[in-house]
Parts: sequence; structure tokens; C-alpha cells
Amino acid sequence: MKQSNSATPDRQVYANSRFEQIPYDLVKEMTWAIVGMGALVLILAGVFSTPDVPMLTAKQVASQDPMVLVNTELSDLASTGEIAQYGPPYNHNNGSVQAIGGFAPQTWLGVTIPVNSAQDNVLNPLQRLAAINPAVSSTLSQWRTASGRTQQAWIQAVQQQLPKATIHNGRLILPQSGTNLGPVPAMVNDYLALANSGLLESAIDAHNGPAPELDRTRSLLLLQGKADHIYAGKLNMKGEQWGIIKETGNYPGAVWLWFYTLLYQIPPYSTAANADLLVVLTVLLVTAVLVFIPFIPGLRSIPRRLRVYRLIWRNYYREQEGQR
Amino acid sequence: MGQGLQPPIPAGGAWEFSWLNLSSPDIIVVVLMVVIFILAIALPFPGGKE
Amino acid sequence: MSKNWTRSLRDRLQQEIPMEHLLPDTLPKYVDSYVYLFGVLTLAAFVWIILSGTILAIFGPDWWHVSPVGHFFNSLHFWSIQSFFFFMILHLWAQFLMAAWRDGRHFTWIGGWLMFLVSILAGLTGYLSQNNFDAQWIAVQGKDAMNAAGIGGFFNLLNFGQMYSLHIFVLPLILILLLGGHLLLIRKHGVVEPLPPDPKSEVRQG
Repeated sequence: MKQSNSATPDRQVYANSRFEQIPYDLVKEMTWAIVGMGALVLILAGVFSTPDVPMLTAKQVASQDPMVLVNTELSDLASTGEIAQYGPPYNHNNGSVQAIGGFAPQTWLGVTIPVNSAQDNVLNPLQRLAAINPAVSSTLSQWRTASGRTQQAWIQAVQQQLPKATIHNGRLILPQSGTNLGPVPAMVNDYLALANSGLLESAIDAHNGPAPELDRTRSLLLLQGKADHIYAGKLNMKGEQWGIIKETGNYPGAVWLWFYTLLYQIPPYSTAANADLLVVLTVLLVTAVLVFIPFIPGLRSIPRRLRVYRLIWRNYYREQEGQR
Repeated sequence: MGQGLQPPIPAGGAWEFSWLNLSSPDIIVVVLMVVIFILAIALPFPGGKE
Repeated sequence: MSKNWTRSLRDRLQQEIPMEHLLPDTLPKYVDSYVYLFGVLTLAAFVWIILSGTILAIFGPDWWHVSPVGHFFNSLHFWSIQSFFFFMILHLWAQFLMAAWRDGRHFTWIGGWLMFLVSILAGLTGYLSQNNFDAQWIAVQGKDAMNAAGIGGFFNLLNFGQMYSLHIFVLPLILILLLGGHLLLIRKHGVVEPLPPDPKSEVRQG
């Protein structure tokens, strides 16, 4: 045994054994902690349960607010949507690339999850529908044989009419029909039919390799813009509503992310186009300071200045000072 | 179209003030943390008195 | 070449952390406050996280949406996690206010922070494994930060399979390993001594 009662600080002496000891039972304490915690979480789980709001599906959007889905489809088809313009890791554009000067880690790995929103989210799913409904094939071949300029002109012609358009029984009703719209109105109706069937997400993800249901990247990207934001807004969970630390309904969320979320609410982060990058870097920096606080003169003395330790160890200090 | 997208449950309670929009359950958790921490320091620990 | 690796390891362990220190039956008298319970309560909550999570893993990720029993185990998991973070943060506050990194204990402090960060990742991947709107929303919202930081290309929040396997195996394994190291370090160094009564002496990290 190297334990000794020597008062001299020595590498070999167990520091704790220089102090007066009291009886203690580690195993008993651990056991009771587990039992007590078990009782606590059983009561909390029994009394409060947990929230479970189902995923927002394209079917739900198509039935509750179909114009949102139509707008999404057309901007995806025209490659003007947020994801089409996003940049790495989805494609080679730069619409959502965040940088500080020339520092843009987003671009370092390039395109690792290729997403072509016109193909992946609109044309491929419609192509699958064509196997069931042959009428879709002729619509799609009219689209494919047209030039890019014609396709864009068709989409824009439909988009211009959308503010006054309605959707009735799952069909788009435009104020004016005409050949300048090309196959686009039919493609919208087919898309709505596919969404209403509940098969749109599967039709999108079916392209994702051997286990499409395990990787829902592309179908999640379809609704990530307007639809998800409207829905989250109604649940009071948008980013500017501190949504990152909120749970659906009246449940506590990821409270431990309060600092990360706080940054998004305050300038300069709240107004910056590269807010995500700035926030991530700030959080990493602050975390690094906290992790290495034992080595940072000044900061490591804060506990000593706060003097809360005098309260925690008050009996010890009282005894020490009484002895003097 | 009517109401547009409708979640099956209403939004959770929140305390709003200027740019603050904090979930009530989150506030309860943080307040509980502070209270329990202060109590843990303030209350005399019964152990080791034998 | 005659050195016996097994014997060296055994001697090393016995020297660094003898059984009397690993499983103590006495503690210094200054260990006299409720704040010392936050660590063990965090550990207890972690035990319940693993137990409830194991049940959820056995029955698969769709079970708790369709079975009331499954939903109860999900609730157990949820509240264990809330308790885990609750007491971990109180433990962190207490250790900070005692400057518990002193006298060679800096790796205990750093390891604690690593566990906090891995726990946050475990929480994030857990939220993403839920298969409900919460998961959907966190995925589409969180992806921009991951992409901006340059890791979204291989840490894809929209990939359920990846998030689920990280959540139920990789991250818990890392946490358990870090936790083992944290506990060994605590017992190796013993409970941090009170700061010197003289308030003018500098806080050493040792």
C-alpha cells in the first residue's frame, strides 16, 4: 500500500488520504441513485407521456394546401427553387454556399449527395406514374422533346396565372388555357394525383440505391422550403422562434442548445447571410475555451473569485478556520 | 383550401418578449435547474454526521 | 523481450488505481454537499437511457408509434434524456464552481466536456430517429448548419438510416468508453480538494 498519512505533498501519496475520512458506500449510493432515478422517470413518463406529431407528407400538403405543392413542383421543375440553386453537397451552384471571405468549408468536399430537383423530385416520380397511367407518358414526351427555352416559357406562363388559379378536386384550374402552357398543367395535375395517392415520397426516394426507405434525403428536400416552414410556424417552432430548442407541443426540447439557438436571434448572426457558418464557428470557439479553461490564466480563476466554493465547502473552512 | 396546412396539435405555450420567444416547458426546466442547484448548495447535507 | 505485457499492465493498474481507490469505502470529510450527487444522478439517468433505448431498439423504430407499450418506453427514454442533461449541466456548474480541474485533474474536465458534446450529438441523432414531424423539421433545419460547416456531405441529417445507426450503436459506444475513462480518472485522482482557505492564492491547474 502506498497510502500514507504523511502531510508532505508527494507524487505517490493519494491526495484524498491526506484528509480526515468519513465512511462512504459507493455501491449503495449508485444503487439508490439508479432506483431513485428510475422512480422519477417512470413517474414523468407515466404522467406526461411524449409528443408524436406525424411527419408532414406530400399527401397532406396536396389535400390541405395544394397550391404550396404546385409552387414547389414548378420551381423545382424550372430549377429555380432553393435546393436547385443550393450548391454543395447537392449540386454545383452557389445559392446557399456560406463563406467568410474565401473560407467556405461547404465547398471542400464538393458534391457528395447529388440532387437534381427537376429530375429527382418531379420528372422521375412522374415517369414512375407513367407505368401505371399511360397518358402521363405522352405528357412527359412532349416535355422532353421541347427545348430548354420552351420549357421555361411554359412554366413561366403557368406561374403567372397561379395567383388567380384554383384547385378543384385535385385539378389545377387556370383562368386562361392555351397552347403556350404546353404540357405543364397536365404535369401539375398528374403530380397532384401522385401526391394525393400518398406515393409521391416513395416515388422520389425509389431512386436512392438499394434501400430507399432508409435514405429520405430527396423527398425531405421536396417539402423543406415553404411547406415545412408553414407547418413549423403553426407549431411555433421556426428558427427565429428559438425553434431549435423547442419540442412539438408542451414539452421541453433540447434546452442544452440554448447558446447555439441564442446566437441565431441576435446581430450580427440574425441578419447575416452566412449565419450558420458564423454560429457554428462561434460555438466551436466558445466550447474550445470552456474545454481548455484549466490552461487559461484569468479564466481559470473565475471560480475562486465567485467564491461559491466557500459555500459548498463551508463546513470544511469553518473547521479549518476554527483550528487557527 | 380553407385553413391551409393544419398540424394535429396546437403550438406549445411560449413566452414572447421582443426578440425572445421561449417555450414555457423549456423555461420551467431552466428555472428548476437553478432552484435545485441553489437548494443543493444551501441545504445542509445530512451524510457523514455519524 | 522478456517483458511480460500482462504483468506490466497489471502492475501499472495496481499502481495507478488500486482497488481501494477504485471502490472507496471512505471519502474525505469535505465531501459534504448535495452538489456531489449530480454526477451520480447523471450516471443513473444514463443507465435508464440505455435500458429504455435497448427495449426500443429491440422492437425497431416504428414500434413506439403504433403500440401504447412502445409509446410508454419512448416516454421513459425521453424523460431519462431530459433528466440526464438536467443533472449533467448541474454537475458541470458544480465542477466549474469548485475549479475541479485542479491538481492534475484537467483530463477529467476535458473528458467531461467531450461526453457533453457526444451527448449532444446523440441527442440530435435521437431526435432525427423519431420518424415524426420533429425529426423531419430538425433534419431540414439542421442540414444548412451541417452543410455550411462542411460536414453535411458525409453527416447527412436527411439520411434516416445513417442517423439511426449512429444513434443506437456508435454514439452510445463512444459515450460508454468516455464514461469509463471519466470514472477511472475520478477515482485515480480522488475527489478534488477544497481551494486553499487563503483567497489570494492563485488557482493552479497542477
